[in-house]
Amino acid sequence: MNQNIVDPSLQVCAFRLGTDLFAIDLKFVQEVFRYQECTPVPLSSRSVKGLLNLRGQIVMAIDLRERLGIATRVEGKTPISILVRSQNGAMCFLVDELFDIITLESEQYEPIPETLDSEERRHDSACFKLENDLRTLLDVHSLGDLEGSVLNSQVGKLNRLPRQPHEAGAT
Amino acid sequence: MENEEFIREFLEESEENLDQLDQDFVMLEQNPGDLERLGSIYRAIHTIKGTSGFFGFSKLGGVTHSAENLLSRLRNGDFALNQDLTTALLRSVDAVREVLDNISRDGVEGDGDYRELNRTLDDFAVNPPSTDTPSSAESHANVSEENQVEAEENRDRDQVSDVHDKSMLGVIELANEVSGLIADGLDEEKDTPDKTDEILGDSGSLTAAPESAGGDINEKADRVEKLGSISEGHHETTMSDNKLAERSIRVDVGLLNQLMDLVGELVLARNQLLRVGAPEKDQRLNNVTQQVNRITTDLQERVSQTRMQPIGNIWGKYPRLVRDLAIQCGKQVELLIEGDQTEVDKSVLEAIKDPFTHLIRNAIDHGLEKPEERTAAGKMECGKLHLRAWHQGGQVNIKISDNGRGIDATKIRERAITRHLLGPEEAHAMSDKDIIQLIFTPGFSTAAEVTDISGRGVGMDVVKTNIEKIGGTIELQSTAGVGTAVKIRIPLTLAIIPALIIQCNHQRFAIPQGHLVEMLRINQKETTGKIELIRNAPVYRLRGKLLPLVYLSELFGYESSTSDSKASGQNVVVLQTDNRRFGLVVDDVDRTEEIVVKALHPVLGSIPQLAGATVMGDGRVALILDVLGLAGSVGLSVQDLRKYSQLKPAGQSEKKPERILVFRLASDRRVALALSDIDRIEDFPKSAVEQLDSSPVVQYRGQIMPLIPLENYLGEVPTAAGDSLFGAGDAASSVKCIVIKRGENFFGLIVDEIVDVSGLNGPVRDKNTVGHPIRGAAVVDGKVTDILDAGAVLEAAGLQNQQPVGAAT
Repeated sequence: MNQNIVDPSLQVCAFRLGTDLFAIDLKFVQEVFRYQECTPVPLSSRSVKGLLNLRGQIVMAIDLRERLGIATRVEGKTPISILVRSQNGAMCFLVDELFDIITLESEQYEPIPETLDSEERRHDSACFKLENDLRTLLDVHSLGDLEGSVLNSQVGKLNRLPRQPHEAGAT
Repeated sequence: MENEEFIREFLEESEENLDQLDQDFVMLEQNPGDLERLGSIYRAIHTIKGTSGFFGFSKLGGVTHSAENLLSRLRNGDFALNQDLTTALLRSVDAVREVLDNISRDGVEGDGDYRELNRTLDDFAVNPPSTDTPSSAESHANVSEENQVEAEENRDRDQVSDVHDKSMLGVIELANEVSGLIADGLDEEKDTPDKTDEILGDSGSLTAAPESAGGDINEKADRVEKLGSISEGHHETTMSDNKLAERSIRVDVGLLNQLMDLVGELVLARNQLLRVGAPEKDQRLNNVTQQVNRITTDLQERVSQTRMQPIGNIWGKYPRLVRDLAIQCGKQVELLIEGDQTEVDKSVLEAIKDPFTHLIRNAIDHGLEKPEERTAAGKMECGKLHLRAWHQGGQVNIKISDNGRGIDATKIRERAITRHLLGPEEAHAMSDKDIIQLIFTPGFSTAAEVTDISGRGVGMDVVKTNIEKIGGTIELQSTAGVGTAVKIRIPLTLAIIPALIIQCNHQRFAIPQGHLVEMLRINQKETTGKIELIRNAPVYRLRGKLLPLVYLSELFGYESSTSDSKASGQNVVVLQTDNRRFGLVVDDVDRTEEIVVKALHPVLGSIPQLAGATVMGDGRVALILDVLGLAGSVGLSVQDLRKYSQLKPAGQSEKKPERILVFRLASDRRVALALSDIDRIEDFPKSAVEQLDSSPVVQYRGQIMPLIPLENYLGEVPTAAGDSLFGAGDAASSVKCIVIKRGENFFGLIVDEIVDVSGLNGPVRDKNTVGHPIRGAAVVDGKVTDILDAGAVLEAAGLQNQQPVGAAT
């Protein structure tokens, strides 16, 4: 999987969750908009924040905090919605704050070190280096793949087999 | 590239021609002298042949050439059409269809071998089979098998729908109007910038500002317009070469769906505009908004119309199917079709295609008898199969009836007992009508032998499930020896359905109305009965039948509703699906509404209790409940319920209506007591009433009989009646008493007036509070009457275990 990262440069959409910085491949990002009230879906996973109406289209919103097992968002702080189009269809990722669009040159990002716990890097596809910071690039498809976890209301840590991380930048 | 475009057009055209050919051949077989029809068949085949030569499709050319040869001899009147010839020609139609399928899928003709068919056709053209040749069953069987395979392949291919010219033009007109209007509206807004700002402020962060909403509409209107003009262009090109094009045009279904989606968005944007444009602020803006509102509604209606297709589009295949099946089963069948112009949404049409084919197969295979059998039964040799469709109340009704042997309820009953679906007593207690419904039971119908016995039934459960999946209902009526009728009701469209909006945990949910039976409010305080538990599963006695309950809030893991709301009463929505009836307990029932169904994200599709989502008028999303999925949450199986339903509530005799004495209390309340509890009715002069321990008594048949003022124990305000007993009173007045005898003791219940003796026919709504003197309530002679429990009255009066008191003599 690692040798697949061959794209010379990669544009990513970076955002904040708590104190951490994450990023997703920009080519999957369709638009970014302010959070709107959504309708909770009973019996779904806790990551599923609910359904919202985006100009007549019904879109599922996934709270990335829940999805990544980061502490629940403080009440009153409205998240930002990122509409992505993954292989699982359109969905919305809720993040705390949008950081920036970053262009990463090939030397700026590398595969996730094998030493990381497979459960920990479940959604990671690569890590990238900022000036003096190391961040992870998240895999849009893995984040959106709630199959098997949708009926499981456990938070974050789902007892699932680790997936093959998706190849970032693979066309 | 251009070639591809032509091929696509050729395929679309041929597809239609083929369907027509199937029908024409069957008609022609029945009326071989119809030269006009023969001519049209010949032309259709000739067109396909010509075009296939042009594109170099040699197999197609070969088959159509042979068929054409044969047809030309028929046309010249060299010999007449008979069954074998028809079969061979139909096979060639099948072959053409197969090749066309291959071309549309892979772009090549495929590797089918049609030489044998060609030989047969050529052979027939030279040596026509004699008219009386008995048809070989095998060859017919083959035909129909091919059919089946080919029908399956065909299913996804129908990409084009005919749209009525009129409605399409209407759409374009409306779209133009909308865009013009909105442009006006925007101009006006520019004139009053301060107002716009004001509205902007009002709209808050979540709703779109008028400019963006207006812009949205404008953009959409433009797109609608563009789509419209595209199809208009299409119109012109097709017009020249097709005489049919003058009445209708071909539009890609994908385009129609896009149009539908855009109109949906337009509707939502309109809704926002309606909210933003506050009426009292600007009259002109209000006028424009209202007009946009009206036009959008019209536009939505017309676009929905473009998706409607006559049901004849799927029924058109049936004459061929019926013919093949009839030959295969050695039966004679006359197919009557009525109302094939009845229009249904395309998606509904797709969904009912398979269930219908199944029902027709059933009717011919199992329903109708063989000619000799029919003659023996004194019927016409030729069986009748009648298809009828008509609109009624926003739904489409379809009836498939045959005059075959019908379903023998006795045999199904036996079958049900041997398969342990029902106990013997239970089975015999059920009416024939109910018994027949058993063929919809999954386990019942799949057994092969049942087919022979019952005359029907393979996969009827699948038919039912498929019909119910699209919100339809299916009803079966059958009389042994006379025939069977299946009546199906389906919604006009799947995209917009009427639904009941309910609330649970302050969230709205929609329940498709097709499943709704009734709504109840169970009030714990009243005499309407209460919720009981069977093996921890809540049930409610609804008119004597057990109704299992599902608490939506519990099911969805919400905090259970406050005890407050439970005490004041519970809203129960009674739903029916799949022969199962259950009550859904919800917090609140809002209203019914037409909703636009949208699919859930596939990830959420695995939640069986949810069927989809919809956008409500305020722009928020509401979930649509899946009634079938909810039924799975019922804690009791059908068998359980059937068993428990047999247990009648205590004290309610089953056989004859209970004889009761109806009387009236001083407070005018109607009360009744079982006649069997009553010993006598007596009148005592007031002067005879004496006092014992401050309670009224009379001397009666050598005993001291306590008199019980009923009011005091029925929660009534004690009237003067009781007290006045001791007063000097009018010596002439009397006290009416119902004397009841317990053991050796007599007790007198004081009443105001005896009304009548009557029968307790109706159901008793149980009070079910143990020890309460009122056992329940029922309607007696048209009036609500409390039913008294004599034992409980005595208990309440503290007299139950009283020792007999001998009167001092």
